Amino acid sequence: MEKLGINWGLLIAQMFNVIFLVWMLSRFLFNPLINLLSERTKRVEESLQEADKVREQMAAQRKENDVELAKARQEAASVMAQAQERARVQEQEIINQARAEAERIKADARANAEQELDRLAAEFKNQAASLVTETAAKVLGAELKGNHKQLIDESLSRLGRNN
Amino acid sequence: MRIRNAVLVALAIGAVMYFGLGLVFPREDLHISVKAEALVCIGGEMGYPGECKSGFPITNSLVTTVIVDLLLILMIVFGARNAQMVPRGFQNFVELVVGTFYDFAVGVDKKNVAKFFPFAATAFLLIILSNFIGLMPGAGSIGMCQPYAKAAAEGGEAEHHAANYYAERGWPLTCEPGELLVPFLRAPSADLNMTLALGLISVVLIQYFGLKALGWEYLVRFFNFREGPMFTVIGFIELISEVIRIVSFAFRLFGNIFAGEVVLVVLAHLFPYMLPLPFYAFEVFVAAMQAVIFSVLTLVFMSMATQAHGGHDDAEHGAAAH
Repeated sequence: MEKLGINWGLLIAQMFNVIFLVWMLSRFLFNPLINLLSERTKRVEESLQEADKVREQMAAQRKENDVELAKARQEAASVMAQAQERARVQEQEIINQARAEAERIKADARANAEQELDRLAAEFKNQAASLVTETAAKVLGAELKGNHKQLIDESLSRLGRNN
Repeated sequence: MRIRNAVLVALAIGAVMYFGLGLVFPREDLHISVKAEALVCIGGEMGYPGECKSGFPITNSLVTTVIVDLLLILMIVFGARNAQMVPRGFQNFVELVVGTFYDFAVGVDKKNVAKFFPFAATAFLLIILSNFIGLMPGAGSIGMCQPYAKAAAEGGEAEHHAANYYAERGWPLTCEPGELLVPFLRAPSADLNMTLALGLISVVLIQYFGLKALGWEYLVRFFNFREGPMFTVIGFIELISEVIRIVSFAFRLFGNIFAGEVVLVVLAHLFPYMLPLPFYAFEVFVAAMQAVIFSVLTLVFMSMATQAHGGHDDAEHGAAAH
């Protein structure tokens, strides 16, 4: 023992040192750090789970959005189609209206023209009667006084036929 | 051919260094002490250098033990005192060390890890720091000079140490003739007092955990009179092996570290240029390895002690193979 340097005092001192170190290290180093490590493990696990959940939620949200978007697109397409349809109908209507208007204007114009013609014819008839009468009177003198009425009508009807 | 030439050149350079530098820097006397040398004797008188005739010796390994304690306190202060949830700097390192060893301890015995871990981890940190301090440059080579004149008067080994080349020439940082260098630092694990203290506490704790876990049933493995005379003999052998464990724990650690230091000192004495380097690297490995072996064996023995009698024999032999 003496040759190997074993000294009871030193041995007991070293044993106290070891016991002191076990106490000190477990109190101030091991326990706090192991608690911290397990706490951290727990937190990391939690946050990973949280992240998974959020990711799932996001995927679901995106799917929902896609569905929603498709619906909206469809709706827009149908609205557009409707609008086009309506526009076509309206266009047709407008064209028809315009055509009818044109027809009407044409008809009016024709009616006016006919009316004018009639008026002119009537006027002419009046003037022609008097002109014929005058001309005939000039040519024949008073000869015709008795039955000139009949003559006038005759000539007028002939005129009308030529017309 | 190229390899042979390289070897020849290396040998030639080595020879030149050995003879050339050997003339300029002659070697000092080889001085190896199995004991941790005393630096001061409290309430006593110095005898032969490194020994106390009386009183309590403050040995160089005791000084190193205090330094190891201070390092561990620094580790707590900078690594764990303000431990943050998000680790930064030194805390990362401390967490790595403690966490890795804790995971290993959980692997050995998940159920009892809270009981076994503090001592095993303390032993690990204490031993690895001790061993590394012992390998630091300056440990074992920087020290105080103690006269051995008194011892010579009592017929000591004075004659043997008389021819100190440096001392005779008055080199700086060397001892006067008639004095011996006692290093300030020595690996605590190269001192049997420390390894024996660790071994004793380890074995006592192993028995304590065994008794606590199994009650009186624990003692059946040593005093087994139920299963016939064969098991009585085996139980007796187990009891002896339990006591031997104190010695094997103490001497395994002491022997490895002390032998490593002796190897380095002797190699440095024989040929101090480059040759000790690979051995130094090996000793660094041994230093870490011994810390692991001591703490892991403690964990395994504790775990085995807490398991019921049946089927622990295989594990015993497996672990004892270290």
